[in-house]
Amino acid sequence: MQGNVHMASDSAEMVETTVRAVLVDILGLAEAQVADFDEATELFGAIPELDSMAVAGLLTEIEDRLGIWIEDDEFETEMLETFGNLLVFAKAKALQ
Amino acid sequence: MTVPAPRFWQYESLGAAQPIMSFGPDSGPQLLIIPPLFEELNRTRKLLTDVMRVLSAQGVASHLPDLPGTGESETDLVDAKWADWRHAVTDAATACQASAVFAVRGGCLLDDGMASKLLIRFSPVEGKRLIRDLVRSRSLNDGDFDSVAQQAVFTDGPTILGGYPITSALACAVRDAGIADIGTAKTLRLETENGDADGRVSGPPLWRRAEPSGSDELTAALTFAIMDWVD
Repeated sequence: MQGNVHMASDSAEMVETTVRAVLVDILGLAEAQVADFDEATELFGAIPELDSMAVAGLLTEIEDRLGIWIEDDEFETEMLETFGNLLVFAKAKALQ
Repeated sequence: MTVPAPRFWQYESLGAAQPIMSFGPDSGPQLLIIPPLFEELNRTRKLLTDVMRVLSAQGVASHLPDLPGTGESETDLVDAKWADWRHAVTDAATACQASAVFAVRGGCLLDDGMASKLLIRFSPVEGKRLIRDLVRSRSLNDGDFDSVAQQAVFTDGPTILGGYPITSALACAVRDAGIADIGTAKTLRLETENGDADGRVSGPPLWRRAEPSGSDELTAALTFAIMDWVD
């Protein structure tokens, strides 16, 4: 049982690392800036690089790197309100 | 070191002159670049010209054609057909006496006539994936672009996707286009990308960045990989 718990937390960490890397690569943000993001960090509307035109590339890159498929009607703007919301969504999709 | 200047000239395809930009000497390896398609073309233009400049400084000439209806072409995109683009690639290769070909992203859907040359593919992508990205990009920004409108991309049109008026015929052709099976082709992919590859390069997927920008890291990695095969 304990092995499974460890595996799950390793996978959750992998998802978080991937999401941070995508924010750096797609929005052109500095790694140090993204490393400081916590669950409460506001994204959409707070980070100028993340505007409506950037959303599609961001979602598609997250899909590719996590090997998930996001239906357009699954996407809600709330997902991008905070870094925490984005992580919750990505983990739910990738670890289900 | 002097910075090599680009040369702007024209190649002829199906009776029309189309723009092409070249860097580098007339002698030595001549590399034809088959550019990405639509929105990804704009987003990678700086990367491609940066790569061309570095190659030129190392004695490798490179040539970047505009496909009919794209870039500075005087053809209307709504008049351009998929077959015309495949023709244009062949005609550009002849005009610049290409000894090698560097096909990028959706450009790899057009490289099937290049099997006799050294063919390097960078991040090849299936046509249906390209169209899906374009459709999603619009649907996330346009509430009226519902599932009916999305279906109409392939039956009515032209539909504006990524700023380009894309006819239903062209949308269908891209959707149905695949990567040709060419055993001698070399495939490069980003380190973060899935899929088979003969080589990996590090850098960001600039074709997904809304703000077009270059990447010194990716330019250096691509140039190194290309030189390794071309030289």
